[in-house]
Parts: sequence; C-alpha cells; structure tokens
Amino acid sequence: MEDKHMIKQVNVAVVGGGPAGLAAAVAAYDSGERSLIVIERDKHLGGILQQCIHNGFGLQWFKKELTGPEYAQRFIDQVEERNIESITGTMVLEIQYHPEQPEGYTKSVFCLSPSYGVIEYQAKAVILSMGCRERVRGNLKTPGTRPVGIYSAGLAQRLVNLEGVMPGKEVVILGSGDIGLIMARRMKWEGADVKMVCEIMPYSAGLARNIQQCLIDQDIPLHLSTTVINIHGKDRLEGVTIAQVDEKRQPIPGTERYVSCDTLLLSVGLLPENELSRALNVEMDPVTGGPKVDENRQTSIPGVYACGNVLHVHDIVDFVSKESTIAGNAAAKQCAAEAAPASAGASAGASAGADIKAQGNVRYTVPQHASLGEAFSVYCRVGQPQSEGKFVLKAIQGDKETVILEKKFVRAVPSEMAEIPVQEKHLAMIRDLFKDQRGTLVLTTE
Amino acid sequence: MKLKADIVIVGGGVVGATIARELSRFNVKTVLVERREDLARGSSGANSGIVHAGYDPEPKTLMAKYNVKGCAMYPVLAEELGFPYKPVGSLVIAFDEGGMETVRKLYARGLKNGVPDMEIIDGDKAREIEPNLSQEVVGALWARSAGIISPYEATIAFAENAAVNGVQFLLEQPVKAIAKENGLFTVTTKDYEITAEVVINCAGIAAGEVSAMAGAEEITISQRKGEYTLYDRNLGGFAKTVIFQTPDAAGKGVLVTPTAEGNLLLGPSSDPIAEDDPAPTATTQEGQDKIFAMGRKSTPNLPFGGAITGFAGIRAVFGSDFYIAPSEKVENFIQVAGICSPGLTSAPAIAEDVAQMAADLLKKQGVEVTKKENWISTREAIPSVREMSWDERAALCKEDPAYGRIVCRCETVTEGQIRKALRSPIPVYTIDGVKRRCRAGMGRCQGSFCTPVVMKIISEESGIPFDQIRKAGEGTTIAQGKLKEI
Repeated sequence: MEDKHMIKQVNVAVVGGGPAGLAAAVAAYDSGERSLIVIERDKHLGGILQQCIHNGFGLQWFKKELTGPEYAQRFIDQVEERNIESITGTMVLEIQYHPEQPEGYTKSVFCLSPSYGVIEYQAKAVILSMGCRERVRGNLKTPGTRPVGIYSAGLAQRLVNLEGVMPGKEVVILGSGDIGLIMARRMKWEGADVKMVCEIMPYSAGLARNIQQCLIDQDIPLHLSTTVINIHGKDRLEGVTIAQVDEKRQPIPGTERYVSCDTLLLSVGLLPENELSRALNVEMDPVTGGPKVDENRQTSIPGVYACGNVLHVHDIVDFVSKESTIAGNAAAKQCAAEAAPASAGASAGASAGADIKAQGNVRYTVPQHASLGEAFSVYCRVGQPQSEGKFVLKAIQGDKETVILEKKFVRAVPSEMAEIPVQEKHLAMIRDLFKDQRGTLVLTTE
Repeated sequence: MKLKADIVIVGGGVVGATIARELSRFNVKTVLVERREDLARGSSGANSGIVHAGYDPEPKTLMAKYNVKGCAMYPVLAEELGFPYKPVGSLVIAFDEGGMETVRKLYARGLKNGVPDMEIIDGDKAREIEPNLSQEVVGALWARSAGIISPYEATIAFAENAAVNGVQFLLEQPVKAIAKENGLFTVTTKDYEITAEVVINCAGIAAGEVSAMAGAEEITISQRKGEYTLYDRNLGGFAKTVIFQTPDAAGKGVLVTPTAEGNLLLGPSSDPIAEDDPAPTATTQEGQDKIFAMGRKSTPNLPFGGAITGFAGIRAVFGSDFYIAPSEKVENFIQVAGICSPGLTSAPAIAEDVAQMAADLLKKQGVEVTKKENWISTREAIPSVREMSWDERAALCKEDPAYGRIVCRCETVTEGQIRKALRSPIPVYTIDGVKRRCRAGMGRCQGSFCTPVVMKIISEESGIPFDQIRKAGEGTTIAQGKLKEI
C-alpha cells in the first residue's frame, strides 16, 4: 500500500482550516511547534466565516468589530506569516490510531486531494476542528410536500453572499438561531418580504444583539412558541401552516394559520460534525454531540484534541479562537515533551484528576474532565433562561458535597456560553479533598 | 418535431426502463417517452427497494410468476449493470399464534410459487439473525432469496443500458394524444409527433389516462400512499435484513430495512389517496407517527432521532393482479398496468415477456425483427469512492484528479463522479438528477453544503446559467433571480 500513496510525517495535523483549526495551528506554532499541517476541504482557508459577511466578529479576541471574512483573514495572515503549511481542497476521510507505532507517530490521517490523490499524514498529535453542520427538515420530521424553496439558513447565506443569487422573495424562517436571524435581515435588505421568524421555544435561540438588530430594527416579527406543522406546494414552495405549541412543544389545535411563502429557511440548531471522531472511537458527550475532553481539549485518545464547533457549538467565534488556542498549545507541549528524553509521559500531573458533570439547569460543561494540574475554566450552557442566580461548582465525595466556588449571574440564557474560572486556590482545595483518588466535580445553578 | 419509430414506450419507470432494455436486443427503433424530467419519478423512485422472495402473491397469478422469476434475475442484473443490490434476506415476523398461522400460510404459498431457500424459524433464531428484533417475536418466515436494491439507480441503469443499445429516451415529454390511422400510431407529446407500429403503456398511475387517449380499455387505477422515514447512514446497521410484519389487506405492512446504499428505512404506511388530493406525495404527521409506532413494534430500540428525510410514494393498484396483455380494443397497443408491489421485483421478468409480445406484433405487421449481434449487456457504473479501498482511490485519482475532490462530504461523492453522472447516456441536468445518480446531497446534511457546488458543475457541463439550475422539473430553479434584480 505504501508505494501507492504519498506518506508524510508531521508532529501536528490539524483537521479543518476554519477559525478553530487556524487558531490552533497558530497557537501550536507560537508554542514552538514547527512541524504542522492544516488540512482544509474547501478551496480556501477560513471555513464558514467566508460567507458570514456581516459584522460583529472579533470584539473579544481582536478588540475590534470585524466581518467574518476579515476575522478569518487575520488568522490566515497569521498562518502565512509563520509559514505554517496548509493544504486546501483536501478532505480527511479517515483517522487511524496505532498506539504501537514507533517514534510517536501514532495517528494516520488519510486524505483525498485532487492535486496529490491519496495522502497519509502520520502525526504525533491530531487536532479535530471540522466544525458543525445545520439540522435539516428531516431531523424535525416536518410533514408536507417536498418542493424547492426549503433551505438551511447557511445554504441561503452562501447563495446570497457568495453566489449572488436570491433563493426567494417571500420568506418564512423557522428557528431563531443566529444564522436565521442574520439571514432574515440579509434577505430583507435584498428586497425580499421576510414575513416572520417562528421559534418553537418560548425564548429565542439567538443572541440578544441579533434579535435587536436583525428583527426588531427591521420590523420582522418573532413568533415564540410557534412552529411549522405542514409544508405546501408541488414544485415550488407555496406556503406553510404554522401553529402555536404548548409547553410540551405540541401544536395547539385551533391555532393553525396558513402563511404563503416561496422560501422557508431553517435555523433550527447546529450539529458538531463528528463522523471522523466517531469512526476513530473517541469517547463522545451525547449532550454536546462532541468528544469528551480534558482542560487541554484532549479527547479520550491520547494526542487527539478537539476544538471549536466540532467540540460544542459556540455562539461567538472569539470563544472558538480562545478554545482552539488551548488545544494548539497543548498539542505543541505534548510533541515537545515526547521529544525530550527525560520527561516521558508528562501529562496529567500528580493528581488523578476529576470528572466534571453538569447538573440541574447546567446542560453541559466543557471540559468534561480535568487533570487538576493547572488553573483552567469550565465553560457551560444552561438549559433554561434563569435570572438572578449563581453557578456553583461542588466536589462530590459519596454523600458529601463541598462547595468549591460560586459565580453570580444576572441572567443566564441557553444561547450564551458562560465561563467559570477554576483558579489555583480552588485547585488546591479540590486536590486536598480528593487526595490521590479520581474525583467528581459537579456544576449546577442555584 | 417528427420522429419515426417501430415501438413507443410510454412511461420511464422501472417497467418502461426494463422493457426498453429488452427491446434494445432487437434491431428495431424504440422510443421511450416520459412526462417528468427524469426516470423513476413515480412509484419506481419512492418505494421500499425490496427484491421480494415471492411468497406473498396468490399462486398462479402473474404477480407470483414474475415475482419469483424477477427475484432470481436481480443478482445477475446488478452485476451486469452496476447498481446496488444486497442479498440480505427477509423475515416475516409473528407476535402470536395467529401470526404464526400466517407465517405457515406464506411458507406454503411460497412453496407453491417456487420460492427457494425458505425456512420457518423460532423467535430466538430470528433474533440471532436480527439482534434488534422485539422479544415479543415468537417466530418468523426466513426467506434467504429476498434482497434490497436502490430502485431509482436500478431504473436508471436499465435505461442507460437501453440507451447505449440504441433506444431513444425523451424526457419531459408528456403524451398529449395517441391517434391511430391506417394501422399506424401517432403519439403526440409536448414537442414530438412520433409514429409507431406498437405502443406499450407502462405509465404507472397515469396508465388509465394513456389507455383512454388510445381508445383502449378503461383502466381505473386506485392510488395508495406509502410514507417512509429515511435514517442516517450511521444507523444503517440497525437492521440486517428486511423485517416485515405479517401482511394484511392493506399491504405487506410496515417494514424496517437497511437500504442498498447503507441507510435505514422505515415504512410504508398504506393509506388511500382521494382523487382530488392536490398533494398525494405529501407526508403527514399521522403517517409518520404511524410508521414509527409500527417500526417500534418490530424493533423496540428504533431510535426517534437520526431521521434525515421523509417521503411518500404512490402505489398504482388495479384489481388484484398485474394487467399485462395486448389490448383487446386497440390492436398493437400493449397494456402493462397496475404494476404495484411486487412490481419492482417483477419488472425484469415482465420486460422479457412484453418485449417478446411487442416483437411478435411487429413481425405480424411485416416488420423484420432480428436480434442484434453487437448488443451490449453491461453498463459502466459511476465509481463509488465511498466504497473503495485507499489503493483504489489512489489509482482512480491518478486517472482523473477530479476523483480526488470531495463535493458531497456526507456521502463522500467527488467532482469526478458528478461529472460522470452528467456525461451519462441519459444526462439529467438537475440537482435531484445528480443526486439519484451519484448520491451527492443524499446524506445527512441533505445538500446544505454541496448544492451550490453541484449547481456550478451542472452549469459547466450543460451550459445552463447558474441561476437557471433546477432542483427537478419545470418551475423548480434553486435561484429566483440574481441579487439586486428583485
């Protein structure tokens, strides 16, 4: 087999050249790693940001308001300035893990490329940064006909922003995810009649600023606790039936209403795209849809890291950059440690570590494990909006609960990720409680 | 435009396509007309994709005869024509003694029909074959000769092979009139006037209309809707075989089956369609709920999530058996109507007989009918990069680098495959046409990522401007104008 395809050895292979992969690669480089490859399936680096031509990116990371392509370009420039190798138009189809492989090249990353055919990158560390995809009508099982005119908001965004065509003139949007809100405004600006955004939940799934700027400022109504229950039209979409739903999200009889439209955009959630991770047998978190990771964003397979929307869906790209920097640094550190003969296997530190579990209104946490070696942050999302409360991190030992730290909030909403820093003083407390045993930390709200 | 043919086939479903292929063995001029923009757009494109073993039809019916014969033909046909076929076998499961009674009846009927390799097994053996089967199952009929195919890919494969052998395919040509003068038919379609000695009616649910146009028998086709749910490829292993419940009057019941392409399929419901129903192929909440509940009965672990699309097909039902015969009212007009289940299985066997029937009629008209010496029996399929080993992929990329560029990430479909689909003997320049031929857009994201790229490739191959590319038939352009034109 070896003579039939190209084989290259690298220390760190980054799967995906979107915001996550680029930030991870830059961080790994800046941590001293020079043997890197970024593998991107699209023709250009930058990922989905290239079609997000609206502004609002970068306020946290670059302290400047940028458009999506501008944000991406800053990272592309950083990659180019550092001469980090990248290969585009090339898709990773399989990652193999061979723990017995000599010299630490334990991962084989198989790619298909029009320029080189099949390439196998043998790597010491792999960073998974494949991003996410949108949920589709089939996931919702929305009944009705199957005409043209039903698109994911992201596909409509690409058609309008990159291809210069309009998918329709009379638009209903199902789901108040951020891409749907952005597209509501975009379609309206391009002359479409955007009739409404329907959201099955009693609250919006999008950021508050997008509700204000994209709907309220544009006079586009948002119907909460409302969903599409039927789709009409033979060849082209002619209309949808909407209905209000009860607290169990079931349509309320008598509230059905026909709304004529030629376009239905779906913005009903994003799914981390983990087909490669699953095939690699990385341990997954059923709530996030991404791998379970430690504070270095390392998965259950040593030397395989995950960051960005493939790990869990983020609301702001700046947080993706921050998270990916952690993964990139860790991958570089791992390769450096493996190269240094004295300190083999320097990973977890002295403590046996802890599992971190979400409880109550906390829907999930990232990371799901921590080595307790260094200070880190727990990121989380709540399941329901909650006002005037606090996040509470507790150590669990049998029936005994010890509060490690509390962080107050004015309002926590599912659409906004929260950060709970675990500082050195907290770590000392936890290590003292757990001694050499692996422990459990629980994050909840009160 | 005027055309002269010996035989006109009306209808581009699996029946029309298999008949076209059989007729392409002869030195006669055959034209197939189809009203839709692609083949397999009616019942042939939306069904369970099962190659039935043949224990269902009453003995001595045409259904029984053609089903068993067709089932035996598919392994060879799939090999020759390169469409997906898997001989997975089928189970008819029973939950109680009443069910077992039916199982024994089906077994006896199968023996009479000449079905090979059947066995009545107990519940434990059934669960051994099918680990996700309900604990309530007490026994089953295990028929090893049953299989699964991709019904639209098979139809396209039959048609392409026929086209290579000289049959002319006219798509988007609904028949407006069929006249007969001096023993010669004139079939008028949207753009053509085709004269022919023999006309074959395999118009599926429109068989009654076509028969009426020719002044032939009155055929009243009743329609039943079958709803399906298609699951993600990662659930394809959930079922290993075709799992039927015991049949009832409305049909063979809801089945849980892997598809030949590796997905999991659930369905069909079987509900009558009102004559004035404006959307006979719309899915319904009730239908989707019903098949899910029935599926859970067979396999209680059937997941609620993981569905990627739902669809509905129409069954054309005419009495209790196929209607395959020369018209008694209009000479040289052949009726191939009411080909409901097991029509897909039966089609290749039906086609052999119908082609011979047509050839005999031509001979009677004094037309010389000889067999072609250079008839091509095989078809070069579009390579499936997903199914290939890394060595095979490397070799293919060397031949053509376009096989190294993934366009549809969910189904691992490359630009090379899409271009090959668009350069096939019957090219169809639509998003759905590409999807049916090489699966681009068939996967879990349902084309959310690849649609614009596929549109560009179609535009390059066909010369149709990007903003005029259609999903399917007329009135289905993806774009409705360029920016700033609204």
